[in-house]
Amino acid sequence: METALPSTAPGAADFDAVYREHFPFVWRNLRRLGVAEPHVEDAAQEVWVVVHRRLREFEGRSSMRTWLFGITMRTASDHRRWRRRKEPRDRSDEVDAVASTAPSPESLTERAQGARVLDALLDELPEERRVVFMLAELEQMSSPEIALAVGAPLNTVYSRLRVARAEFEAAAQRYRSTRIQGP
Amino acid sequence: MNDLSPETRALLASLSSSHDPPPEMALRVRERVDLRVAASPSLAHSPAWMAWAGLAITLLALGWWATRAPSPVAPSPRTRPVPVVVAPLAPTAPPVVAAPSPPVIAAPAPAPTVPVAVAPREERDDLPAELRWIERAQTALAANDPAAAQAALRGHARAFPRGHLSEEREALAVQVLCASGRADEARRAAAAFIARHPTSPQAARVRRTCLDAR
Repeated sequence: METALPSTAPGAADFDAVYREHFPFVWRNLRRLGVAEPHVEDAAQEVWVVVHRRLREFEGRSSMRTWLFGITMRTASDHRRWRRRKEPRDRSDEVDAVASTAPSPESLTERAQGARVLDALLDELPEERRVVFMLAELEQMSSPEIALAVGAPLNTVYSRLRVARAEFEAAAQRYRSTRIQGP
Repeated sequence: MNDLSPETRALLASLSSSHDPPPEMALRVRERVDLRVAASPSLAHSPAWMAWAGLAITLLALGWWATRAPSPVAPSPRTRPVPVVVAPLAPTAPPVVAAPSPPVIAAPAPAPTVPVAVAPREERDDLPAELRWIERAQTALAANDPAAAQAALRGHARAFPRGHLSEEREALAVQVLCASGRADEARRAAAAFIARHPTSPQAARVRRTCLDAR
């Protein structure tokens, strides 16, 4: 899975390989970091332009995924800040709102509906815990790897993950109970 | 460490792929990245593919300039337009021979709708605006509205005759012809496009255009 580029000869020649292997990783993590579907193409483009520019700086001290995630996270953060300035909105009760429309209405594909549910569930977690949770549970990264990716001490990662799991569990239970009761 | 309940873990597993990119996105984003990178000034550290992308744009600009020159008299160097990008040549790759031809829209048939003879005016360097035209054309094509797609391409050609996305415009024009039921013209335009831009990231897509139509 990992592309560990040799530190002696990294660089632009490897961009193709990195792009091919990690494009889905960058895309789905932008989505999970709160970049909405209509904007994720723009954000992905930003990430890969930065990767292209900085690939030579990648020294192989972390895994390629870890390095890419750092860029992805900063891009998503910039993007969300920019969007918030443009269109502030109230996200409260979003899990309930999503749950009340599930299962998928005809207008949404199953995958789009799944994305909405996952968006809403992840949105229940504050940013720093959501990131740790995503990487552990959805990308199967190890805690040390996560610590490198987010630039936090290992113990902090452990404690964030513990709390995040409890929060996600609660959000998932709410989602399930709303679906069972149904509108 | 606390763990998730089996139900939540199952829910998470069922949702885990819902944020994956649609299959066409890898190519689409890559095309946009290539264009951005080729348009950036930091070409000194470019890989060969980027040099070629830059070269393609340069040749497009030169081709356009050659066809719009009103008289056989060479213009003075002072009025000679500067190519969009000056790309370094990749020393290891074979040279690309690009016939100078109008890079506006790749329809070989006389197309009165295509503003080949656009009034030369100062062209803005505004990639986001270019992208909006091109995306409008793509959206219209996806909605099976070739007339609207054609209008968007015309808009792009008017505003950015030598734009960064001229090649994308030409490729889309082939698809528009096909979507308009003009399969023969589309195939001729596709062949012309590939002859002009053999190394274009669009070439594979253009080659597939209208293969099945009769």
